[in-house]
Amino acid sequence: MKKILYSLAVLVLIVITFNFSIVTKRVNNVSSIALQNIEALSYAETTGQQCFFDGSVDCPVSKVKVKIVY
Amino acid sequence: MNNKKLFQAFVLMLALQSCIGNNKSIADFDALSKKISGKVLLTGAVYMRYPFRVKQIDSTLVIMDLHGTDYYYHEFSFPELKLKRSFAKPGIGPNEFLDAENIRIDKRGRFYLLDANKSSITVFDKNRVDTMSRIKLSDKLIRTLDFDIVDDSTFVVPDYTGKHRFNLINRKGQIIRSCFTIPDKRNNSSNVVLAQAWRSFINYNPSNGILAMVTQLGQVLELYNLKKNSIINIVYGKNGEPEFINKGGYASPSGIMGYSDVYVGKDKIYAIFWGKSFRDIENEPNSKDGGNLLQVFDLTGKPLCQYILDKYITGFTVDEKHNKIIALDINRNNPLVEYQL
Repeated sequence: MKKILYSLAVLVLIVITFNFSIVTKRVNNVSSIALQNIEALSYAETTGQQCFFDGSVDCPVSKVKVKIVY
Repeated sequence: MNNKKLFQAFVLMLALQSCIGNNKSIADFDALSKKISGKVLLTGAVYMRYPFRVKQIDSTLVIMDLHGTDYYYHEFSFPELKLKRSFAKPGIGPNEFLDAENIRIDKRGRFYLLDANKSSITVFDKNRVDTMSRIKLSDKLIRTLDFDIVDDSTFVVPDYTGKHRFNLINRKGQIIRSCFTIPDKRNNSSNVVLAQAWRSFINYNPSNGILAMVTQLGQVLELYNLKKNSIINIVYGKNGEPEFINKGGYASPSGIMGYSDVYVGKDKIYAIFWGKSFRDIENEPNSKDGGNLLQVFDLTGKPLCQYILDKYITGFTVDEKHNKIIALDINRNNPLVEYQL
């Protein structure tokens, strides 16, 4: 019985560790823009386009000049 | 016999290909690069968020702030660099501006300001701060993002309709002639999307009749002779045409930031090139804005020299007499920098 409980505990520990590593990896993969989330200047629901930061590229959605157009 | 015919056909195809590509060339600056350092010029305590254009004529120097909060333009005395006035207030009022795209100064010292969101060109007198007149651009033009003065009665403007490469308009804002088409080789998108991707900065020199256009995305320099109504050359750099994804009718850039300003001189053409991929910009959004490669071409588009600058600049003007440029580095508090070429 002790052996089974011990095995289960180890299994749970492995699962938790595995999940944690996946979550961490996902967070690391999110672009720094999303992490900083400083100023999304505009977002168009229909096309899914987003414009970020002050820049010189003409944002087709908001008509302001931005650094990044997604 | 069959092989001989095949060979002949191949030679014919090569000959035809060379005829078609007559006014297109490839620019390679690898062996023509030279490092230079700039001298910072002090413009006093004028705060600018994103200085993007600088023009200098005689004793006047004007800087345009693309994201100006109080004013879009600041006029300085030159070479003293004392602030004379700030003008073009952002706002929705009749004499205010929704945005600032570029400024041109004519022979009489009048300022012409392009506001793409109001679809108008505003004319300011040299010595007055109030608006002199406003030219409403034709409804047939979509989002004109740059312009230049051709002569006393004509402007040249690109726009987003994409039907033509650029238009000549009169002083009432009406189109008088539409010229050429976007030189996209793939040509599989709608005109408007293509025009967005091929958004270009322009400069016209009335003394030699040359109009230069440089793409903000990709690496293409287009040269036209407006006096002869002809294409001089389409010059492709290593990065080629603008790369983009068509997202619901909008061009989303996926390649590189290319050029941000161009100047047509008496016998040379100057263009500032960034060459940063959007992937790198997305990964490092706080990286420096601007380009540090000043490319110089002759009037046929042949590469002459590439200056590797020690600062990253957005806009510039050329003093051909003294062989130097005055440029804008938005990454510093004193943005004005001078380079001796």
